[in-house]
Amino acid sequence: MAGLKLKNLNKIYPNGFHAVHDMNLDIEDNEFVVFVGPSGCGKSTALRMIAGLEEISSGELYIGDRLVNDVSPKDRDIAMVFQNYALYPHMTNYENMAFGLKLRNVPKDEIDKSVKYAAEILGLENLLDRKPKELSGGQRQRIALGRAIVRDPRVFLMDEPLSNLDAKLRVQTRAEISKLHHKLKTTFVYVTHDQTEAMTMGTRIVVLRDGYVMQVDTPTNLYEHPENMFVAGFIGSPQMNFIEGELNQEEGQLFFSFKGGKVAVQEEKAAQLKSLEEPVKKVVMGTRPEHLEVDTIPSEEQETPVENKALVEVTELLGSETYLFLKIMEDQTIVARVDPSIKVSVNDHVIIKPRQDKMHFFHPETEQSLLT
Amino acid sequence: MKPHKTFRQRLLKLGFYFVLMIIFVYLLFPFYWAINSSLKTEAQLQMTPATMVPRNPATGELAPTLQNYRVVFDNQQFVRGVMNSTIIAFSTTALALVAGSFAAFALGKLRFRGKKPTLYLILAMTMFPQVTVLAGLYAVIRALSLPALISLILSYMIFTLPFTTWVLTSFFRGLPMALLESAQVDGATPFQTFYKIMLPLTAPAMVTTGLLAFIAAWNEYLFALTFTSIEPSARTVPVAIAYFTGAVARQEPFGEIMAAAVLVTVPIVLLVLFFQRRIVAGLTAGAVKG
Repeated sequence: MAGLKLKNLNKIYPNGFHAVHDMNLDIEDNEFVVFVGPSGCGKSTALRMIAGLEEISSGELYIGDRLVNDVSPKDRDIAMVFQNYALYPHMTNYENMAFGLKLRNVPKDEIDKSVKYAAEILGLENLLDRKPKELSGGQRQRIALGRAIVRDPRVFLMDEPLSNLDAKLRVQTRAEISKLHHKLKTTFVYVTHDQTEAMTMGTRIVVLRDGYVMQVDTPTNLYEHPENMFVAGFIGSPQMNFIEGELNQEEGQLFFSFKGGKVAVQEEKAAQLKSLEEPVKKVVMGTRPEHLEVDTIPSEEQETPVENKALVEVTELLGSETYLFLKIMEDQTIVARVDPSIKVSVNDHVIIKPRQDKMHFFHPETEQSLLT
Repeated sequence: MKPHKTFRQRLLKLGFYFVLMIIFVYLLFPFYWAINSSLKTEAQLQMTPATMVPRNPATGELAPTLQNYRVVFDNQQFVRGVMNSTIIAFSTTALALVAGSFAAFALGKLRFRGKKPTLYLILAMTMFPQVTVLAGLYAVIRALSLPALISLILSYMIFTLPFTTWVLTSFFRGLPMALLESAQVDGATPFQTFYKIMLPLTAPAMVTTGLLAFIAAWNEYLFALTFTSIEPSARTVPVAIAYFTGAVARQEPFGEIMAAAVLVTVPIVLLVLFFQRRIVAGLTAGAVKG
């Protein structure tokens, strides 16, 4: 059990590709940190540098208090779970789980105890004598988890461990890994491209893009206070809506106006926007589908011009909720998540009302949040 | 009710078995004839027309004899040849597998400069006809005054090693990288990774290539004949058989040669039967799915 410290970590491949840029991160003992980002963002590379499978181009990596830049993977006291399980096909599941301890010359009865313990946690007791190829994907991944548990490492590393499983099993195993983290009380570093996995499992999330850390925060903070448009768009599903427009002052009240409508800005947010060091007029307003309220228009008033009017293009019924795809300008469609009891049909006009307390404002060029 | 087979289907089936039979006879008849001849006496061999089984020339009764085998076993040249061949074939196979698997591991799994050229160079080496290097090799061996046994092992490696390396490389390449990395994280040294993870997984390929290397070394004639020309005690079994002499001058001891040929083939057949299941696995399973 130990924390991790990444100091200005860089990875530059021989072909010049800069995969990770100056990554700084402090991971506390017992944390469940998730690296998330689209493919090619450097999340796996970062994890593999922690594992020692990838050389560190520059910067420092500490596990506990120990600088491990030049320590080989086997001496880092870490365990890793791979996407395609990476079980040794010629060994039984028992042997697979015992392999790491055997290499360390741990006495046989101790190995046996550890393997049995891990098998019990994961419910694998009656699969130990079989070979990996006789198991289903989910069982294989559990053996791979077991192999990591048996090692009793200081840090668990997981590289997209669920992406080879089908959707149902993924949800199940997701919960299982979370439970495991509570039980083992060890540091977990978990890589995924799936924001749902990140949000549900992580105690802290590191959002990466093109090798840069975009934001490091708890799931709640990432969702409520994204620092930039990338994070705002990446976290949450369906994606946050971005509407370009400008800020205008009318009789002391700040408004966000866009083609086809305007919305009053909440006082607290307005104060922040006004006190910016470099005031901006053009901004991008972000509102999540679940924070976009929709009012229906009675059929006789459908054609009356009103502010914030939108055209329903598509409705998606999901049972527990309904997604409305709304055309607000010539070339922009936004999504609203509404109660399924709402009575709208395609080609109806509705009025959109973004929740004032949940509006985000971003700089149109730097894409940074204008709020703190 | 059973589906009624059409005439066409029956004909196709018949044709299939007919072709199968032709191939069967074509492949096995020479071997059968060797066994048949090895069981005949000199007089029976001279019979015209030749008989499909050894028969008494006078009565036509079945009369096989083991006389030829007895003579072969008493032939010191032959026994010596078997020993030499065994030593050479086993050494060649072992060395080719050890060196070949090391090389294949590097070529298949490690990243280094000049990997592609190396691979093509290796492939190119397997293409040389034996005769082209024969004279040059002989000169080298004389110059270094190497013993014939060692020179044979080394020169067989010229052909078996590239072949083994080439075949094993594709096998190693098929193994998922994550397996190696997993072993590395589990605490295995590179060498432990090699012999605890990679080697067992490539075993079918090892057996197949090893067997082919063994057969090649066991049956080789041209090099063996040339390099043992001044050291008859190092003659391998094919050369020893070629030097069989009859009881009288200029006589070809056909029966004995056939008996020796049969005896020499037996170990190969046994080896193949013994490793049969592994060979099939080796020929079909290219990659290992985790």
